[in-house]
Amino acid sequence: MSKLSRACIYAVLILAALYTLAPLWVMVATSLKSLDEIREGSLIAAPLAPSLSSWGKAWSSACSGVRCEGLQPFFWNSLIMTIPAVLISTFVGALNGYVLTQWRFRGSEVLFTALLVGCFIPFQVVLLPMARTLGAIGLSDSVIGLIFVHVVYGLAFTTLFFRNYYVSIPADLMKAARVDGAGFFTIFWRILMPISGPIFVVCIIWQFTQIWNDFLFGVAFAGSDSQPITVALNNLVRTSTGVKEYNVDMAAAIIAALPTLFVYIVAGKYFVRGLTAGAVKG
Amino acid sequence: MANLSIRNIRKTYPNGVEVLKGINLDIADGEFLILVGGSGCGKSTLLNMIAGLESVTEGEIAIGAKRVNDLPPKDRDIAMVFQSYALYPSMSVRENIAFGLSLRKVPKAEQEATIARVAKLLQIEALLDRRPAQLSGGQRQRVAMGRALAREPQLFLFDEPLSNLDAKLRVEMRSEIKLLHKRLGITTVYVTHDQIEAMTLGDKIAVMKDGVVQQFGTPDEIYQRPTNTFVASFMGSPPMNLIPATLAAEGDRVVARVSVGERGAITATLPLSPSPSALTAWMNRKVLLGLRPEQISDTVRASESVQISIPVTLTEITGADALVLTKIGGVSVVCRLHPQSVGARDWVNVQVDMTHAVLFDQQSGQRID
Ligand SMILES: Nc1ncnc2c1ncn2[C@@H]1O[C@H](COP(=O)(O)OP(=O)(O)O)[C@@H](O)[C@H]1O
Ligand SMILES: [Mg+2]
Repeated sequence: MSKLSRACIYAVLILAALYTLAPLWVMVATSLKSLDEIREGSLIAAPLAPSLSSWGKAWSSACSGVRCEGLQPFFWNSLIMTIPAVLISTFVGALNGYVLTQWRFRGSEVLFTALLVGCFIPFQVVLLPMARTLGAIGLSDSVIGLIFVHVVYGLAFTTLFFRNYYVSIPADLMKAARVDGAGFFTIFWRILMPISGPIFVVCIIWQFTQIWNDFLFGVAFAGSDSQPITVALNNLVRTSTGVKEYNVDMAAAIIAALPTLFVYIVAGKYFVRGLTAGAVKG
Repeated sequence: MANLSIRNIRKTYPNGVEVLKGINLDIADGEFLILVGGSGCGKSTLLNMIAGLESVTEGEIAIGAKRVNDLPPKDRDIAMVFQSYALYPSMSVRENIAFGLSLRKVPKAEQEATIARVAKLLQIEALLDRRPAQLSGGQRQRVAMGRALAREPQLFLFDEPLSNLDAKLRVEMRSEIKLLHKRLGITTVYVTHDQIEAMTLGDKIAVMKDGVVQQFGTPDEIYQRPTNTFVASFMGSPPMNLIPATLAAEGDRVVARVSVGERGAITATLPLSPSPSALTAWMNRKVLLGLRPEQISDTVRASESVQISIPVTLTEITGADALVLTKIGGVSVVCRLHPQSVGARDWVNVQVDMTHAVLFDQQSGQRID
């Protein structure tokens, strides 16, 4: 490859990186500026006197609707909703994938196809029937109800992930385990789980991002004191007393995005590996 | 220690395909049974049914006189070795061997002793702490055997255990399996598509095709007296020659007349010995004369040998033998001669040993007795 074309490729890559990173830079920079500086300075200029005060306000005292406790309570709401929903949907998805590939039964292919269709159902379609269902089982306006919704909606995806991962596991492995005396759950725990690391990471990242970032289900099904952070962020940005505090808004938005960012950084390299691996080496 | 009895076994998969069509096999305690046949003939299906990994559609399987049709694999006291070895990828060799033992609640000390015993037996002591991914094909094969041996089962099941090894290792492991069987005397069912493996390992061989056992017998019976042309050409390498011939009475004997050479101008007369009386119905009719390559040779084996002269189409020297390709009865025929007796000649004299000649019905392919 000639030097010139290499230089061109780097130029394009650097431009693309700058372009994607620019909004983040603007957000970080703005969140560290004072309101005066924001009004007078340029959007992309670095803060002259960086200060974390807007972060503090966004976290603990900004008003979102009538409550003026910052994002903090909603952050915990999101956390206690997201973690169980991610774990339950991932785990049940793993079990589904295991059954659909290793314990096939009459109609299991049909069932899988039906589940696949679940991946293409838009959120909006689910809203009303889900509201009625939650009402009927007495889970309206509760964290548990919201967890339930996310688990149900996420199952189609998690099942698909695990099925496609487990389908490459040779049938002989299951047979050997059965001859050795292992039953349904022993095979799952002792043989499949230890080789499922990559797909668990993929699934957890996917589900965490989906559920943490969800706004629609949060608005529709959460009670006023179980609202997730996405809904609170929206309220916070729209609640203003006179001046619009861009620095607080930006800090709040970054706070709301931090957990997903964190998950990507911690587990990101497995994400790519898991998506491309698939085959299980014996 | 147990005998194995398979009675009228049928298998129909849920998709409606009948894969096994009434199998009957019996082997005594300690015998080594080979299931051999082409790919897709139902060998693995039958083995999986013996193991309890596939349900029985019809018929009965008994291990040690006990009906096992409805027992799960773990209660049948069997151990199995798979073609892909099926080692548990996340476990070390030691853990692979111990897995079945610990599920059966064998005390730790006893597990350790067993692991040491099979590791010594199979010379895998140095590999005990490795993962399957860190082993070569041959080593994985040994570990798979070790895992099966650890349990000291009543019945050993092998599904093409050597077919993923290279040729040299395959021959080595074949002898080793044979030795192990001799030493342990455990009743064994062994699936293979390789007829040499079948001949060398088996006490009994069941040759299968399309879900039906074509012949069940000792290697010698199968080799010398194949029941039909499928068995005749499946077993043996090169396979048995099947030569179109006409039967005729000549004095008080029956002879087979075959044409020799490219144009069939010469007719050779080969007296059958002994001439079975059942052949009277076949006089002056076309049959297939079955002769193994070594029965057309340059050695006088029996007093009944007949000398004929054959044209040489092609000669392949394999080392110990020269395989001479010729034309008899209008078909290509392979003869096994000594390398020094074939020069660059166009015709050679050969001895046809008719004592073990077999006759087949041309239409049905069945042996004529
Ligand atoms: N689970 C199954 N469902 C339907 N057909 C099967 C199944 N397993 C095997 N078969 C079919 O049964 C036949 C015999 O298979 P198998 O016993 O594996 O043959 P072999 O081991 O002799 O090569 C094949 O035609 C195969 O396609
Ligand atoms: Mg097979």
